[in-house]
Amino acid sequence: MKLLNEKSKQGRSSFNVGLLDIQTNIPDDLQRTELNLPELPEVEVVRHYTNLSNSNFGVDNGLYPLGSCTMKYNPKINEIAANISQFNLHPLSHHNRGTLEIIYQLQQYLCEITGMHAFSTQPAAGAHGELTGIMIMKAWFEKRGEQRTKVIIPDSCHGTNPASVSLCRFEPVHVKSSSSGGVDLEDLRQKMSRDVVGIMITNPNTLGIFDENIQEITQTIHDYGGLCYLDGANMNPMLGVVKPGDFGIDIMHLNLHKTFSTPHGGGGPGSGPVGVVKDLEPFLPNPRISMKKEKLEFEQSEDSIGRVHSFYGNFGILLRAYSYIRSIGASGLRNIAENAVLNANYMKEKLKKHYHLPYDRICQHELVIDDSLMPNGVTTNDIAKRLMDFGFHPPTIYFPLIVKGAMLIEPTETETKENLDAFVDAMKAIKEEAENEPEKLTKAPLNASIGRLDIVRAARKPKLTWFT
Amino acid sequence: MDYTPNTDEDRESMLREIGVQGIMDLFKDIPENLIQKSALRIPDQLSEFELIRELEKISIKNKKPLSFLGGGNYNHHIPSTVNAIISRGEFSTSYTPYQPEISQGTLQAIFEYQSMICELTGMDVSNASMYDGATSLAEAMILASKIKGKKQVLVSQALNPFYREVLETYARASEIKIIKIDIVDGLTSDFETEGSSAIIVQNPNFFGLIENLEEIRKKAADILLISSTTEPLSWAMLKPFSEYDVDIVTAEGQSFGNPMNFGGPGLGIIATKQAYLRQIPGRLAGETVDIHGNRGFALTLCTREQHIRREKATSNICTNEGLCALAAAVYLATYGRNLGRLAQLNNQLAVYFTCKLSQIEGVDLVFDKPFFNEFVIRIRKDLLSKLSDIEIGISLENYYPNLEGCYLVCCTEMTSKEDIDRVIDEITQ
Amino acid sequence: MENPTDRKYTKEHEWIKIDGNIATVGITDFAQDQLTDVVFVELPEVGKQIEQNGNLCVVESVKSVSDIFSPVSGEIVEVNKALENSPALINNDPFESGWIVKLKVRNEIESAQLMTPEEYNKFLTEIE
Repeated sequence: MKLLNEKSKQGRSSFNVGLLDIQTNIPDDLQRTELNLPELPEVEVVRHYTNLSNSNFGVDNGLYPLGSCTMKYNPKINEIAANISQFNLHPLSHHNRGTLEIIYQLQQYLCEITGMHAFSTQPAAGAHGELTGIMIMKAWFEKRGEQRTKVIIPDSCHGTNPASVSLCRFEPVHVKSSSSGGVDLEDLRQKMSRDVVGIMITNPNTLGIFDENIQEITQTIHDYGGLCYLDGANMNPMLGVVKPGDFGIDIMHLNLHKTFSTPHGGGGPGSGPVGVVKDLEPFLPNPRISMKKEKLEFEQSEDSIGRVHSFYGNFGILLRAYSYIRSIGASGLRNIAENAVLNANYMKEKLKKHYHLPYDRICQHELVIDDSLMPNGVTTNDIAKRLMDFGFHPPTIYFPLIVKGAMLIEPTETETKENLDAFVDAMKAIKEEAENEPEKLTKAPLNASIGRLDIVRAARKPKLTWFT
Repeated sequence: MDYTPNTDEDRESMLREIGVQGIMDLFKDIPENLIQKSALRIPDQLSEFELIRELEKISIKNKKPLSFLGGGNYNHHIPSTVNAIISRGEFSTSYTPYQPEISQGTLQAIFEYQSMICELTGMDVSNASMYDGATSLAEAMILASKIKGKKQVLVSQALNPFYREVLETYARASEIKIIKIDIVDGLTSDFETEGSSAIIVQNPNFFGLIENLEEIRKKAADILLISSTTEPLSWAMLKPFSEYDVDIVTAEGQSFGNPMNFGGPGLGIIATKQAYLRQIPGRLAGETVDIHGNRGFALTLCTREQHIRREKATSNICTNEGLCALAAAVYLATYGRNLGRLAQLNNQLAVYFTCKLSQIEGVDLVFDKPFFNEFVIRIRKDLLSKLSDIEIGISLENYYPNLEGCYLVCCTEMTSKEDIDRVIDEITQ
Repeated sequence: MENPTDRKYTKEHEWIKIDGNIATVGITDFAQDQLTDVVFVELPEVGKQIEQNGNLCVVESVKSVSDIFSPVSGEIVEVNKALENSPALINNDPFESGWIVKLKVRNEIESAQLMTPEEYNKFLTEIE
């Protein structure tokens, strides 16, 4: 499809702006002489993006079982809620009682759901929440006058974990996974010392497994005075079933754009609120919203790590998550967990008849299969591309790194049994194609708006704008 | 509401397929003592109409008087095209475009966004977005200290005070030292570059004034020059940063088609020179071809990112503000060159307001220098009290003790001449 | 592709070819195959001193980043500039035009301890 600048023609812009008869105060030598933005009539702008949207695939188009991303249905009512004009307020307006009430209530709900003592809704995304959490750990030990340097991270972690740790000048130390998929306790004990800041753990982990030793893991860390951070990306199957605060977690983030149904927006915006136990509350980002004598106000804490966002976080996302929690209520939250786990296990049982299941056990919200049984050199990447032809978004591929050729599948609770069956049927058909017509796979997708893209070329000769 | 579609019958048959008796058998890995025995203390579910009623009840506790607040978040008109496009589920409900063959819409839109940001700033490369203005600036600070190998930066005090707080937070974590550069008459004053990797200035600065970037560049000859902008509409009127050889441009892009939303989500903009391409944080969309030779787009140079380089990544960022960048792209495409006229109108309204205010005794324009659409006034208390139902501006004395009784006032195209006249009337009455 | 017999090898899959006191270093065919298509080579600066097993450079494919270690200590006297525009040379011709750097060798004993072609071939069959 043509680019905006290729469709542009001088004088075509129809979005007119009337000027006043007032001289500018800006001297000529500070002003620009040219502004080469594309010029299209409004109808062509709308068509351009409408046509672009047609070559995109979202949850609204079909099953999107992208593991660790929780691509559940994003209720449309959330969008209506987010567009209530009275909430579109300037962040420094003092007439903000309604807005503060939403944030405060949401903080309370998140505390109740996770068993944490206090939440800050400032972080704008999961990785931002991680960074905030590690900053809190750093500030905690600084305050105690302890110099610790190492953060334990299981080898099945999300890539953001070690990246967040090194931004805070700590050293990530990886612990192995055991043959059953949890943390290898022996390896963990060997790596423990008084130099350990804490652990960053994802539970259920990226294999979809709830670590049955979680209490021993957190106890081990606490025995050495360390702190336990939970990457809450996989909170979905725990809603109303188990609270991280009960298994020894001291700090965690939630991804509102995963667990609480706010749309991913093609990569954001998200929201990554951070919750902590009571001892760590003073370290949360400034300012916090708290209740003083039945009045909501901003509060500053001396021990705080400081501000992590231009204002107060992604309020537009908080409002959507608030709406979601209110609309489904307590019973609805538990329903999510149960159905997410049911859907994943159902899919796992059906898929394992055709694909290799490296960890054959009960899973939580997601499951991992791999390409080790595929004939004719067909790879995970080929399977992913072919799934597009069947009308599905592929799962997360080649992750977690500890499974070679991994496909991480998270169906979510909002899919019907029929959708799950159709996906399994497609996977079965692909397996048969791999045996009989492997070229169909290696050339896939065959029906998408564009063929398989040359990503090597994109990286060797980067062309990142229409100018170069 | 309930968004889980499985019927009891479905559930029974699925449990049979799995080979377990009941749902709780699927949670057997969770130690028994951890399983919740009682329901969460969260209100019961609501229907859509009950929910809307509830939300409206809360929303009217907010009030929206006539307002001249700016300072990092701006009340601009959002063209009707923007919501029509960004509310399309194909865009809004998709994930990061890791699978390019079914994400061409998002990818081409990002590529075009990157191009338009480069046009506005004059820089060579823009990424696909960061969280907001403050965090993209913090990432630029970290980037500069990696490039220059010096863990010290200079920060102008004419930078938005919230941004300075965010820089302090990141600097503490990354063990970077911040040296504060004073303000003289509203503009960044002299500085020594020794031992520093970069100087950070805001343009237009927090007081709305246009900084002397040419002078600053000269003084910063041996270090990097990083700029921050909170009102990028000014770019449509001002010389691009490339003309001052700025090294890294960061900004809050909320002005481009995104609502105020109490300050978030915003749109973190970061753009830089070709030389720093491989150090830039976040995602990049690049052009390539498919197996048939057709043009297409894909995420590229991903080895910089956390999912591949992990602890050695240029940043930990994963989720960014994709839909806000799309809104900005639709916004820029809708206005096209008329964005220049919109910028002029904003400036004209602010100039008009200062002309009117300067005729009133008891109101002073604090800095007599070129500004874009924000300016600082000092107003006598008795006059201020007449404006109790108007948000005249951001009170500056909390952030700058010597600016007692001063307010940062902002005009956008949403301010009408009548609004300004109303303020003048109320003060002079 | 056969591993040439005129050079030595490391367990990290680098090769080193000595000519007088100058050593040419690259990566083996096995290494390039594991990496897949090389898209970028972050070359070191000429004149840099490097220790044995020290970080020589970084080679990137689309989906991975690999550190290349120096088989011996020495000073970098030349880098393969052709890789800047044609990183694919490492894939297409790893043992000749895909060389990465030339070093002035500081300690000859170090290279003597590296694997012979026969030892490296055996090593490859062991790890596969």
